[in-house]
Amino acid sequence: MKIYFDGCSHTWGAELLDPNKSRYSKIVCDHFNAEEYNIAKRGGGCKRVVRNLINHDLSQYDMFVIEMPSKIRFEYFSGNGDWVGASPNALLNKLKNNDPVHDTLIDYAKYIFTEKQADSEQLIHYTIIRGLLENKPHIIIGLDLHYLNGINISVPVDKLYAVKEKPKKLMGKVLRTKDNFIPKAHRGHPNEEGHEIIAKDVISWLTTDK
Amino acid sequence: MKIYFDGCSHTWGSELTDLNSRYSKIISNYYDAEEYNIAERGGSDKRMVRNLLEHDLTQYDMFVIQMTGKNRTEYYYNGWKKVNWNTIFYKVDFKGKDSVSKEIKQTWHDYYTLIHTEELADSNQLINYTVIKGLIEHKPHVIIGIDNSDKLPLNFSYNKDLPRAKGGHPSELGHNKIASDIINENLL
Repeated sequence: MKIYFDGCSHTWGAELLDPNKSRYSKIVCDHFNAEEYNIAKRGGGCKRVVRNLINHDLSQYDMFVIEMPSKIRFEYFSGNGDWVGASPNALLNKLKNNDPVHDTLIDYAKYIFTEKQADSEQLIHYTIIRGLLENKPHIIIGLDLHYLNGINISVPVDKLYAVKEKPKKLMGKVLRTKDNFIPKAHRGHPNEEGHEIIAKDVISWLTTDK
Repeated sequence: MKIYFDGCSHTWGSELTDLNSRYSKIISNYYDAEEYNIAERGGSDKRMVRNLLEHDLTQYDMFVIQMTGKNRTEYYYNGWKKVNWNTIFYKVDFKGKDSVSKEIKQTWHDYYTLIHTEELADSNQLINYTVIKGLIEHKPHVIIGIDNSDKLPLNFSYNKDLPRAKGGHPSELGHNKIASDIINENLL
């Protein structure tokens, strides 16, 4: 058995001491005694996830776990022959540096990219993912944990971990709230406990008849 | 019976003296169906995807989608605006009557010259095609291309052999040919 995982840094396992051992994809695969195929990338966007699905032979996988990245990310094909991810929020905090590509991306973030466009593109990407995986065991999750950036997941994912209010702290520890909040590490990614919670939810979803 | 048509100027009926001779009308007349043609001049594949997502598709009996140039897209600024990279004159075309600020014009020009690539255009086109196909997969449909869409597995892809008017849009004869091809698919 082989399970396909894709997403952004959350699914990659950022901020975990050992991503290969404690990220949720590994826990899920251990449960099913399956081969883990995790191609998530830090900074990856929804379009990358779609592009990956189109470029894979999906018949080779028994289950699919897709984590929708933030809607505000986009990607372009660089002169180096690589797909490069970009985030308008991050670009708007940067200064121009006379690098034509860098400066154009900043202008694109400033003058062209809008919340409306982000919503529209995420809905297109969500629809295509759902369509490609329609007859296969799958779950689409969203981790909208950076509440300060506004809502980053605007599509009806199967399981949404979202912060709808400023997280409360007790003795320095962030508390889990009713908003499907999961324990996070310092920079906002799920910590080891968070990954365990996600893994449990994913296993439950994939083993329950829909 | 109602038939849904979307596309760009080709499907809108540019260069025809009478829009009643566009292929959507000929097909609708043949089936005695209501013609629902929301094609727009300068429209992009992304606009067609957005339109499909914003419509209740159960209201239509058949779908005809005409994919367009892969360098076209749209952006949102007080409504959805169309934009196209004119590869012949190496400039950005903005469609519609709204004025476009110089910052937006310059940014799109820089975007198309520095960021936009053939790979990005191909990737976007394949994604748009896949989502369109998925949305209408279980309904009678055809997806056609009138130019530059030959990398996609379309039902019909028309190139130079299609009778055309001066500006490159299908002529009356061209529209008859497209209508005839689609009708001969016997989808309804």
